[in-house]
Amino acid sequence: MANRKIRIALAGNPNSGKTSIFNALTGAHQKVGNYPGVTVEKRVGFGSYNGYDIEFVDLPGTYSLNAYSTDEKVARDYLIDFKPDVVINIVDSGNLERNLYLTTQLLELECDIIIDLNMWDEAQRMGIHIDRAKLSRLLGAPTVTTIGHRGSGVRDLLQAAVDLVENKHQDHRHAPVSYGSHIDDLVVDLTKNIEKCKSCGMCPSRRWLAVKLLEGDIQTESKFIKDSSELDKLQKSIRKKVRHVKRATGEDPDVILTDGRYGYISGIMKEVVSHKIGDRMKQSRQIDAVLTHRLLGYPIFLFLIWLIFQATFVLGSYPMEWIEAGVAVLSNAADSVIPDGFINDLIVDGAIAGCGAVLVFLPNIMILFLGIAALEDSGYMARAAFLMDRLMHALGLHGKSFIPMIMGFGCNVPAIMATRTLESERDRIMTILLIPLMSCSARLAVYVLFAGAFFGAMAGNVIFGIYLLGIAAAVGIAQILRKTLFRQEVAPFVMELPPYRIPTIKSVFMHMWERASIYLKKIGGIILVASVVIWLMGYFPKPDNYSQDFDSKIENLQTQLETRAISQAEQQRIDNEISELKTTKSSEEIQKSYIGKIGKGIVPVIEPLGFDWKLGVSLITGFVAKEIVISTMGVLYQIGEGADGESQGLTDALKAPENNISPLKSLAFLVFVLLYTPCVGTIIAIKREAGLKIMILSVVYQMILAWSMAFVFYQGGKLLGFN
Amino acid sequence: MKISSKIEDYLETIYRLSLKMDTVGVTDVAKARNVSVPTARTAVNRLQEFGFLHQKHYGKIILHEDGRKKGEEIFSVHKTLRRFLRDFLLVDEETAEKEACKMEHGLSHETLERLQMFLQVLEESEVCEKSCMTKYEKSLRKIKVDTAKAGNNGKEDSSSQRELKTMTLLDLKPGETGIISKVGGYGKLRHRILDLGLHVGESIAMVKTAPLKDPIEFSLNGNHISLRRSEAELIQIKSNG
Repeated sequence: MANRKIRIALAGNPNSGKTSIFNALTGAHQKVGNYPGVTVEKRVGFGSYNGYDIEFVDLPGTYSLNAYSTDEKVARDYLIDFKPDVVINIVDSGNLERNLYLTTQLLELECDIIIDLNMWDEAQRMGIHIDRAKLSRLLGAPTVTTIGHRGSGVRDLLQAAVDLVENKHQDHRHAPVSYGSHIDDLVVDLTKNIEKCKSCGMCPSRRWLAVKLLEGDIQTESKFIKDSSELDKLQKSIRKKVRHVKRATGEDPDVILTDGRYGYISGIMKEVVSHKIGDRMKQSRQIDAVLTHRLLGYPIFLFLIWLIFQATFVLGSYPMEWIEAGVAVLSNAADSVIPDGFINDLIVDGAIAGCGAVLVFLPNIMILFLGIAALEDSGYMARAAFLMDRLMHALGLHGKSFIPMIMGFGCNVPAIMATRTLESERDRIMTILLIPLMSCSARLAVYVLFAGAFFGAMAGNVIFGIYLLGIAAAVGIAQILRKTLFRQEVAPFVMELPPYRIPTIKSVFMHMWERASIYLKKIGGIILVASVVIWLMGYFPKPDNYSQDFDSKIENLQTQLETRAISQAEQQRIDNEISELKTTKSSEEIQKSYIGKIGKGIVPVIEPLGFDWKLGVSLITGFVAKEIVISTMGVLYQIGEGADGESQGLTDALKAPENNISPLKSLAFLVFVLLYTPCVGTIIAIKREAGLKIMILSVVYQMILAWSMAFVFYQGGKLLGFN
Repeated sequence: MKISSKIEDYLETIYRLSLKMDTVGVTDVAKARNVSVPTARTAVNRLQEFGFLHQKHYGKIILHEDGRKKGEEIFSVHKTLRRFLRDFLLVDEETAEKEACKMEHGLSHETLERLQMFLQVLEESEVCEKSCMTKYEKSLRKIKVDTAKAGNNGKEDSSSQRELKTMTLLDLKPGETGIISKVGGYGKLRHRILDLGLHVGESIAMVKTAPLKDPIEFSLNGNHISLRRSEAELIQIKSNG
């Protein structure tokens, strides 16, 4: 017989250990994606138990289902639209009262819930005794105890779920929450009205809808009451009643409803919990005495950030080198196996190089998310936001924006992926828009080359100034954004500072792997395609005729090398000649290619910035990655392939008078490189994290910003008499 | 003949009493208006001359249709003004009641109509009501604190003492506790606050401020929660001691 399929959703407060239960339930069988239309993570896992195939959905951690935040809305919409067979409500046993608040709302939605008393060991240690049987009876839901990070109790959970599906559990019933006479009467009244309303058929529970209407929940209104005249009628009668309640009690209904829920919960608490005095925050307070100390707080925070930064970008540079070396070995191997021609070029220069460009980010991403997962799981992330909020709020951002922004100095791609820690959509998108202005390490190579070539002893200062300019631009853009696009919504900071916990290695590594696989699957592929496309644009069309017959000349020289016995010096000379010919050939090819044509086409646009077509082409190829700016220049200025920042050849070539690059022009170029779109990877990451519109906005505003700032620097400098 | 505002007040009183009790007597009127019975009787006699009511034996007052209408009219004006003072200007109940009585005679019919319309528009557009009222409440609190401070600098008068009692979470120092008496703010913010357990009657302790004084960490019911100063300001508390 085929297994029956059931769907189980996991709901619970943040920091209730939901994810560890989810991991314990599903093991490695997980898929991570987004909920449709929003960038809230949807984790789905699979398992089977007792003849059932179970799909687990990990809902975002929320304190309630009011749909005031995207997370809450997503969780609630899932529960309503997909009606999971069972909802496992994960509850922190040590913090039962606050956690049961969500439970009351789940009950009101008439979900079939199982109360999972998680972190049972912690509660025991604090001397909290919970009468489970009574709790089950009062809430009308089965209870199970688990210890998430050890995975114990998970079988009981599955058994309870299966029992519930098979209707075996005797405690199961839906108990309505009472809100006191004022509201209860109103709710009954409204429920009757709603029953009459024809377009309310969709809603899961009329009583629930009545409560939501009283709370003034606009989203629910528009979701369930499609007929606007009926809605109008309902709203009018509600408004009158609400005013009446307000006058009678002096409070808004939403306050009374909240009070009602907490009153209901405190009644339950009195019945089922016997406390010995246990303060779950005691240890955390002691740790906080140091970590958020008036004087010590910042140094410790900066040290931790420094540590993660160093680990990510210094430690990460070793595996990056291995990847680069591996890619080089692979492309050499491919080069020798595949006969010369388009296929060879496509595979070696296009595909393999593209894969290399994708893989190179991987070590950074893995290490950074290892660090971020540790910060999150330990509870320090909330403290970091607590410390930084004053400064970031002044910029119109959230305290949690700080860490992603700082990581942007290493690499924008993982930094943008790290904005997931921000709950509010507005804060997240603003942070994502600003991160590209944080000058990443790939751009540093360009700065070093140009500053070294044109500013000599001042090079260090110039580079430092460029970094500062990026930060200043971010501050300025933040001000503009919050006065234009992000004006209306003010994201509240109200945030829990959870107790410190030692992160488990398993969960930290799972988090890391999750990010890495998202990157490889969702971002890497597109970066690869984009890299190949840009490579193709630089490859085609082939020039019809070259200024000289490169191929035969090179062949000629090569036969000379192979056939005749020649001296060492002679061999050297011929080698040089060959590579020079090759470079000249590539240079001609790139000039005639689409990219070359675009580069020449945009000359009128970039001329006011002091750039010629060669710089233009370098900037265009720089869309792939900033490292490519330099290798393109190597080709265009004909100093041979594989140029890097230290190559004396390129420095000399840039300074050569015939190339006509002045220090002022080079400064304008650096400003442009700092401010325009960092790379394909960043663009794709933005699209994945914030959607297409924000991606376009990001590219467009950065182009405009880069152009105008470079213009100001070049033309302003000229006016001031610099050269 | 025009009736004086004083007599109008009596009519209103009688009307209001007639809503609450089956039979209204002169003594009830006197009690409600806080005057002697003979004074009340003179006024009732005047009203009888206007034909608004007549008296039966033992001082029982019967309102005529005219009188009922007139009384209702005056009372509705009174209610409008009281609502304006209490719900919008946030004057306390007692003062609102007293001053609405004084205002109701001075305003023209047209002005009153406009006021009524204005309040209705405000009430019906919730967004406007909410955002305006939040701002207003905020500046009101500031004034209260300022006047309280000024009062303390000079002589400590009793009224400023009373005003000082409306404290917010901002007034707590590290280690101090208070009991939440009102949760202000609207929408998302307010719900977040409520969802996290900060609701009326809950005891809350200030733990510490962040190094730059903002945000502030509070503890309630075994949970630690951080609020920005602007958010903490929305939550009123009663002192615990």
